[in-house]
Amino acid sequence: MSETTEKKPKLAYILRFGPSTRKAIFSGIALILLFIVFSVMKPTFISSGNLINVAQQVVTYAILGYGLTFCLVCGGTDLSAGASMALSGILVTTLLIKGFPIWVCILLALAFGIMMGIINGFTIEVLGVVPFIATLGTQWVFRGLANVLVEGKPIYTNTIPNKGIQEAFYMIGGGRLPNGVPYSVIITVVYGIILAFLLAKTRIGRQIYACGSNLEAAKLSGINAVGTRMFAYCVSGFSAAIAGIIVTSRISSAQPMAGQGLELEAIAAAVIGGVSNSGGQGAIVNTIIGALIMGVLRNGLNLLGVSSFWQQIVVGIILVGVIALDVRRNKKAK
Amino acid sequence: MAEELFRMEGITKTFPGVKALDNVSFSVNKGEVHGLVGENGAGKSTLMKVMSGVYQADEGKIFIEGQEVKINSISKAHELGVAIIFQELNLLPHMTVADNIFVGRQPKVGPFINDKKMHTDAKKILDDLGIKISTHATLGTLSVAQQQMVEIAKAISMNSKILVLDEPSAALTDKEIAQLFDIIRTLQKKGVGMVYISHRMEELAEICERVTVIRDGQYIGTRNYKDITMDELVNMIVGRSLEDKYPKHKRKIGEIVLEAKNIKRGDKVNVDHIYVRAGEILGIAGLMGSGRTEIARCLFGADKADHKEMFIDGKPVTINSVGQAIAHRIGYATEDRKYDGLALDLDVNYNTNMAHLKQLSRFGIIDDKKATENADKYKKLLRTKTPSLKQIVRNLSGGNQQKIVLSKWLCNDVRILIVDEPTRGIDVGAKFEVYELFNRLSDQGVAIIMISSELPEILGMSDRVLVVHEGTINGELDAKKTTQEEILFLAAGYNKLEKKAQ
Repeated sequence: MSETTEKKPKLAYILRFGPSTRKAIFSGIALILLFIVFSVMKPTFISSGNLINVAQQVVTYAILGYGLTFCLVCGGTDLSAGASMALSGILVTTLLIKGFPIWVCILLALAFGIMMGIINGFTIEVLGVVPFIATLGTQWVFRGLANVLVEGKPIYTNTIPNKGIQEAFYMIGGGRLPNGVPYSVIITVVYGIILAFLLAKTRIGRQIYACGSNLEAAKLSGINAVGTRMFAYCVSGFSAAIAGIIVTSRISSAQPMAGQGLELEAIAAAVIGGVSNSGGQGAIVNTIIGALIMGVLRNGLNLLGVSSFWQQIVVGIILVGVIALDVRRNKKAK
Repeated sequence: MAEELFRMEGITKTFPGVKALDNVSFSVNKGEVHGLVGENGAGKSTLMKVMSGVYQADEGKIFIEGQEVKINSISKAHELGVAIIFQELNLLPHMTVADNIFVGRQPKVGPFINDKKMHTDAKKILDDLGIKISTHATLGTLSVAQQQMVEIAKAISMNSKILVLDEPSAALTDKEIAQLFDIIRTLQKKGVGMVYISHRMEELAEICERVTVIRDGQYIGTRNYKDITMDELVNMIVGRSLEDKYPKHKRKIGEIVLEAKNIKRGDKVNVDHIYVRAGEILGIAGLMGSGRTEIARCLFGADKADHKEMFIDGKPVTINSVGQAIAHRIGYATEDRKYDGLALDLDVNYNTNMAHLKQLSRFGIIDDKKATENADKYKKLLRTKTPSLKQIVRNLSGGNQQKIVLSKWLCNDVRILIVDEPTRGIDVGAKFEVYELFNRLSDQGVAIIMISSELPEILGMSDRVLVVHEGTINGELDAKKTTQEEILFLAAGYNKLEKKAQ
């Protein structure tokens, strides 16, 4: 019966990042156009110094965006990501100042990130609060906790007793390869590949898509929906912790108000890249492109001397425009 | 005597890559009910959308009472007296019946709505049609059948001369269908021309004078219903002859595979005993809302029963979750594939493998090659028509979607398959294929529990029939010896027949 099984070249398997890669092509083209426009209008845009700048900005959007992609694809959202990021930054710095070994501090901060994911998942899945409200609540809790821990004041990494640790910690977010590529970019790329694999090629990944596309059908197919969605929130918490560590390291201080509103920008990045905000569609590749668009746009507008107020207006219009276009395309497809 | 009301000539409509309609002609006379049939995807809906102004034809002419007209929008269609009652009703659930009938056109006193006049007018329309619903009732509290009647009343209030009914009976019980037919006959007397789209041949036979068949966007022919046999009609629809609607088959029935006793869940389910044997098709009949689906969900572990004892091959088992049911090789194809059967925005591959992920993965990593092969195997086995395994399931026809739901369970090598309305909203050809599949499965010793509202299907396919009434089993019948009347009798709650002990 199956002598003519569809033969696919191996490359197609590797490139297939999961559903909705088609949208990645559209946003990819938009990104390239944006890149060309800025390069022409402002040649300094493509100087290596500036591109590294862009990359560092993209890192935070992308890493937070990864976690949010998991939440969005499984039909939820995580408004606590920015606050989780700040809290992890404070936690890792506090531990370092207390003199714990650097790897212990980092592992604890990452574990705490997962813990915050579990708290979100518990609130949503066990207490039954809808994701928007649940993570709005935990956002305030985490933000409040961050402020309480440091009494609302930033703490600085130069107060770490051991100078060697101080420098080693700075390398995570601030260090670069001899050719100038920041370590944080490498972390983002490697972490992105791992998550892309997780979402597209694993059982839990397919379960996340199933839950986001049709929760009832997923449950009736024997998928553990509670566990699956819990996992997505843990990925988000973990990603926020990574972002928190990187940012704290780069700016040499942990700010209790860091990452305010960043979760919304990360959601915008994911959605602009083609992740559906109603679940079931999107992949890490979409988020990366979306984060790049956001980073390039912000940086390019800065170079052109557009004020940050106008930038907000532009980003807002683009976000709405992208969704409006998408709605039209979907309507046509039907 | 047959005065022509509406005529379409040479309608052609092309969508990117598909010729949805190719030179189709169609007409409706005054006071006529004209059946429009064809397989899913044949172009019926497109034709009706052209008729009601949703789409514009690329070529062709439309005449109303002999005058050529252009119907380029829905409001233009309304103006010309053409109204369409879609399958999904377009009503406002939180407003009253009268508001719904006159929405946007409420009688006014100055800037205010004249509530009294609106209700009087609405009542007059409902009375004229013989519809007994209070104009003050909130629409959302009415049954689907009643809501449909309101929708019809709304169309009539707009002086519609031509009414298109798109599968109006799909969600109705037999009694409600009879009421609908009464209304249709009243409208006929008023000279309204109607187009009646349905998959149910029995209904067409009862209500239609003429029937037009389209297939693959082509006009196949128009016949007087009196002059045509069922076989000829089916032949026109599918383009090949089907000996019978239900493939004949001799079953080899084995031992009891699944048995359940004392299933209780609130006041919805109260079943003393139910069992199904290897290679057997157990039909479950009953009115909608009688608890058929609830029983299935309890058996499958989707709903937690207050009490139940289950046995597989005679050994007691615990099935309190879907996971446990799947582990015991039970499958459940749900009643409403769009609501809880398929992830519509995912592709064929993802949907086929949805309940099969464990077997496809090692250390949590999916073997993509195996997944593709599996999806492809069942695509071929069930002859699912899809351009590729990456096609989004939403874009497939009902019959093909149903095949994917079934694939999802077949690939788990199920021993017990529960199917809830397995052929709802799918065309004759696909139905036949589904029945053949059930026969093949029963040959392999799979026990099938088939819930259905279509009595001919229950009689044609089952070996035994259980009739459910208010969550209990109100009788067991031998499908070969019973009749539709007997089933309806039990479904309505009468029980003068002796219940068989086993």
